[in-house]
Amino acid sequence: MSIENNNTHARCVVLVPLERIDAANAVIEKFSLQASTEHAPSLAMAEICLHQQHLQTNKAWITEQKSPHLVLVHAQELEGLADMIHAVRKFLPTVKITELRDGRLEEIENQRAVVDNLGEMPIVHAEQVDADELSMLLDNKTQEVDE
Amino acid sequence: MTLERNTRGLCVFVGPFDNHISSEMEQRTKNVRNVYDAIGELATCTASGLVEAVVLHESCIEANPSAYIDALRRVDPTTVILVASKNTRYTSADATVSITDDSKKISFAITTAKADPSSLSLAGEIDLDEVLGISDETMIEKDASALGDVDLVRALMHAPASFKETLIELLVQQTGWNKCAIVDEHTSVDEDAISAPIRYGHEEHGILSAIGATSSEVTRWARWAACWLDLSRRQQNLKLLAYRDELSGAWNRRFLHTCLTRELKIAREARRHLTIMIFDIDDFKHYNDRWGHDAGDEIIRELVKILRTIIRKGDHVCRIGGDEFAVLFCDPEAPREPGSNHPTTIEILAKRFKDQVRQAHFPKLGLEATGVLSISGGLATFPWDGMDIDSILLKADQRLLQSKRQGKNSITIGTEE
Repeated sequence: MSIENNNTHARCVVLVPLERIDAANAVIEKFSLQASTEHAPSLAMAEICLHQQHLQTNKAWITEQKSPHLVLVHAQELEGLADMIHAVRKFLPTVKITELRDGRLEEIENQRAVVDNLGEMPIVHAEQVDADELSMLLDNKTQEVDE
Repeated sequence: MTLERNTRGLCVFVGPFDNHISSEMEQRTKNVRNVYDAIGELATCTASGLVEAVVLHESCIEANPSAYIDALRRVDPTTVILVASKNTRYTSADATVSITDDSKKISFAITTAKADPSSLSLAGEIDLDEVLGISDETMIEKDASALGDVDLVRALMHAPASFKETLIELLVQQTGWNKCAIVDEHTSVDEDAISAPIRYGHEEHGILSAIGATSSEVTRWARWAACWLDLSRRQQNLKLLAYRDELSGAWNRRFLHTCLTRELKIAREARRHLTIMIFDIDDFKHYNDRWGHDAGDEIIRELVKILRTIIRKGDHVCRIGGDEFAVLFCDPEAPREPGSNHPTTIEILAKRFKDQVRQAHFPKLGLEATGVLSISGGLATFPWDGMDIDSILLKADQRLLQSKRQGKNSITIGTEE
């Protein structure tokens, strides 16, 4: 999913390597983000946690809440990114995580969450069928009624 | 009916600790894989499962120790952070334990770190002499060719940082040794060097090591050096006692006046502004009366810990009354930590502090008290709000009162009353 300017009111943290700060500033300006920048995954996660706590504290007073937003800009270059994303997914599942790809912010799919949300394995146990019924189903023929 | 409150919270172990350590702890424990999981635990813990301490295995934080510890502190400044290390001391943590320590030692370290505000090293992180304006090299008119005891006394009074250096110079002059140094037990010395411990009573001050000396000479001069070094240490301790609040580990009112005088002079000369915030805890008497003075003390200590994680390196926090504090914002520079875009404007710092206090949990107040504490404060800035100490403090105090009158839980920054 590509994100344009639909999250400008959310509190946002941009994680970017220190030497790529210019890219982060360009993203903040282009997408009009209300953002702070961090250069270490641990500090970015801490800031996201604080935003989330702020939302929780003030939820009674805010009519329209938007979840905090974590933006990754060249963050693959930072050590510990995968662990950080995994922890954010686990502890702060409502946080939106997007990544800068080809000049666009694209949401990182949370495939793990899909698996985690499944209560039981989707296995359907069929009823017992006899040979005639099976033949009918496979050959798409109606069963002849015995007189 | 008296309610017994469980002040023991959860202890989170991060990294490859032996299972028996966590199972033998007095606290409830949880093992997690990495610091990110620990941050998540801190951020999402409920009132019934407050995290009392995080014990970090050294191997989990070696990539960037200060960032990991800072991140944990940002999320919950009141949680004790310990690092289990082979031989490195992590000053940004509340304490460092040995990687081989058992559960009893770790429990003891957590309890000590919670109880002893001096372990915050709040006062120790800055050069007290520099802040107080004691350092004054111009007062030392030493004759480098003939040093004597007077030069040591002068160094103690006016340049404590160079005291050891002066002592070594004097030693070399007096003895004619080729080379001499004060080292610690881990420092390797020349094979020709003769060494002797510098010990005054039970206090160790290092090892005197000299080349071109006899064993008896080194032992005799080590005793002489021990007296001077012990005097220097006591002098430093007395200074800390005179300027620090014992309960919270913050600076005291005396420090505020001394430091503010100096900082105002610097601000005036550099044509720079200087801001002070005065705040107190809303309805603090109520907490003391309802939960006891023990709980009140805990609130004071925890508030200072919270504040410490928010202010910048050059800022100072002072306890100037029972529940009244002053924060001197005199760090004109940007980020507190390399690689961190920490907020630098004072309004943001003040607001963040107010919010953090509002969210903080205080185990001694029990579960129902989470999030009920608030502060009211006022900010005043040189030169707009006053040109001298008294007028600036008065203005900050007036704005504190204004915050109280407006319903508390607010900080008045500087708009016209």
